[in-house]
Amino acid sequence: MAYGSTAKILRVNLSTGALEVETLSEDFYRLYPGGKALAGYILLNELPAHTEPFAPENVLVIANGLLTGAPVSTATRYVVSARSPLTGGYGESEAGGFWGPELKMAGFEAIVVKGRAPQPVYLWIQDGVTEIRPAAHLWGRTTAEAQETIRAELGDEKIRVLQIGIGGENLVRYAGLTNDLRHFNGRTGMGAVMGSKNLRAIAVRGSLRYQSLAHDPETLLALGRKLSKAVRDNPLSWDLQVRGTPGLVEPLNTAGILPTRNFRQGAFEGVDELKWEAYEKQLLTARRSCYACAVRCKREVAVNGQPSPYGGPEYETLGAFGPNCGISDLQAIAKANELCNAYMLDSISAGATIAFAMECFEHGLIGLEDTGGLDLRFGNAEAMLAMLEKIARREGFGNLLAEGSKRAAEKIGGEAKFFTIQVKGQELAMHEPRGKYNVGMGYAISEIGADHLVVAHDPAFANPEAIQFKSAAALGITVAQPSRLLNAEKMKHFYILEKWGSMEKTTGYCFFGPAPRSFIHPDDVLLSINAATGWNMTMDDLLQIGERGTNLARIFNLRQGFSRQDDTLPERIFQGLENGPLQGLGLPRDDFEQALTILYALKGWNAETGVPTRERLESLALGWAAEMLPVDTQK
Amino acid sequence: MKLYAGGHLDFYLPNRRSRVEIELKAPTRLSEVLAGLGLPLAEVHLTVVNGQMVDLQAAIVFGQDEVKLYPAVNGG
Repeated sequence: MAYGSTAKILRVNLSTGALEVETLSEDFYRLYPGGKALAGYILLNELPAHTEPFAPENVLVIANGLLTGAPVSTATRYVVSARSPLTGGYGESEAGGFWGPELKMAGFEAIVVKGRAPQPVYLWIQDGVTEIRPAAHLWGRTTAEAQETIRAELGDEKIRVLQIGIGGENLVRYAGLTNDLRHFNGRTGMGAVMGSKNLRAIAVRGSLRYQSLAHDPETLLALGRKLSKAVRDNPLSWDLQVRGTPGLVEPLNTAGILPTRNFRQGAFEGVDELKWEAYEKQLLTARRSCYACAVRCKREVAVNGQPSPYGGPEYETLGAFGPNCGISDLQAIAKANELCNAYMLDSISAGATIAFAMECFEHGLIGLEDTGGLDLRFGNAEAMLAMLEKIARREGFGNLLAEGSKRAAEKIGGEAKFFTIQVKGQELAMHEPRGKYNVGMGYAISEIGADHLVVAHDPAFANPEAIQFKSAAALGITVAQPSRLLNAEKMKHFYILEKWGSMEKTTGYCFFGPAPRSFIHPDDVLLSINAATGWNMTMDDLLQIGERGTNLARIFNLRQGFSRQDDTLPERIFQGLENGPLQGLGLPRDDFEQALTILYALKGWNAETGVPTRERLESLALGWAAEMLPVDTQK
Repeated sequence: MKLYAGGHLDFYLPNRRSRVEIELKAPTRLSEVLAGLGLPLAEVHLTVVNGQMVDLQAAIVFGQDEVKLYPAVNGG
């Protein structure tokens, strides 16, 4: 019976060249319906604990969500997962675009890559037929050059290319992947894992249609049409279409929560050069979409007057290379965005690691002799761009910064450890937790290290009459709470929103689709999944899918030796901001620790160790995973 | 008064424009001005009048006052 899935996984062993197709059962897929949950299941079962991230034995999983490719706006995403070379724990990063839907059209839900090719290769998948092809001629090329070459040699301009760049080739620990040059799996260094396998790209082309896989294609199509029209009738999705994420710069600065100069400050004096009006005037050339998505939040830009093949900088990139490096030169930031995408580095970790180095430089912990003569002070855009080139190529001081700020701080020594703004080794995204406490909790507890897409952000839940809050009632969030507060009710918000976010990462929905962040009411999310699958699920079932995914990743990290002590925040976040409306205010450490204990209890995790109880795992149909916990944690 | 509606707040203004000039005949509560425009007060998270953050409910505006409004912004 059709349930929205091709039920096929492609298994690739690059050491032997073996290609195999595995067929999943519907019962299995119902528990692990793609994306995060499927990746977590495969990694826990097939990747031995403590496997070195760059060893051939590391397992790279690329998995669509069950809805990926459906004719429903924002259902476009796939995850890339492996043991992370940046954190040493569970690695994961999602992206939209066109590649995930094309993989589904080519007949596969997921690709599992093991081993290491003796020479650089790429995969070519067309309607279920797979080939490993040589890629030595792509090695060292920009992502734009590589994509053009692949399409030309395969003779089809519509081929979708997922690839790494020279960042991944050179094992930069925060190298990512890109598809169509504009959609990025940025976080946790998945591109470096792919590079360690000598796998430069995966090109796909398919002719299936999602509707042929759906249980109730008519209902799904009708819902998709309704949602396409709804985009411009909802203020949140309207704003995403008009401005996209670059629209966040000015409101966050006004609130005093725009990370500035390595998170020392919350307001940036150069913000006028970076706000949406400047972006629209100086950079914007067009708006673009992901597959079948009416939101159209992607920007096309010209950089220094030249049309860019890489898409425009998102808010995170503007923040990381802009205020967080003390830089207000919009063209330089757009250039940094181009470099990150041409070489495929995570722009968040790249910008944040350079900001870390700038603070070290200003404190005299490193000097011109270390940086190869670059005056790496806050605000020096030229030095920032030059250092980015060095990082991608691992040249000079760039070789150290390619390790990420945590490892660089250990090497530099002294106070440098106070300047590394990261959790579990991954740098904070450009959202200031001292103004949004549940974002801080997300940074602390996330299995992938600090990330901003763990839960919808606190300000949405501060006013009971605001549209975002009202749309969350369907999830069980009914009591409004201030952004700068940690209490039992806030932890209830967090627990629900984390499950909802994990469900999105499992089913293929984008953060910019479902409410409360955007315009698709939770009831319509549920309708879309039931129309695709015919499973008659409830909202609780959806939340349980999300909770299953977070617990799989949690167990992965516990096996690697992570514990409650790793669920914390950089020391700076407990100190006061230096300027802006929140000047002098830090996140209260005692409140944070108490809230973490409350959250563990809600999640069914041991208060001291953070280990899931067997009872909770069994309630999630994860009793088998309890056996994978380290023996000394099985209480 | 000059009004700037940041983020998604321009959705509620005439022609969805983010900048509007409004002629006031007397000092007026800002909340009344916004209600007259059809802008839901619950969507306003930050209110800045002449460069100063103020309480929306208490703010009174007139003449050439410059008002900037911002919604609660989420992540992404």
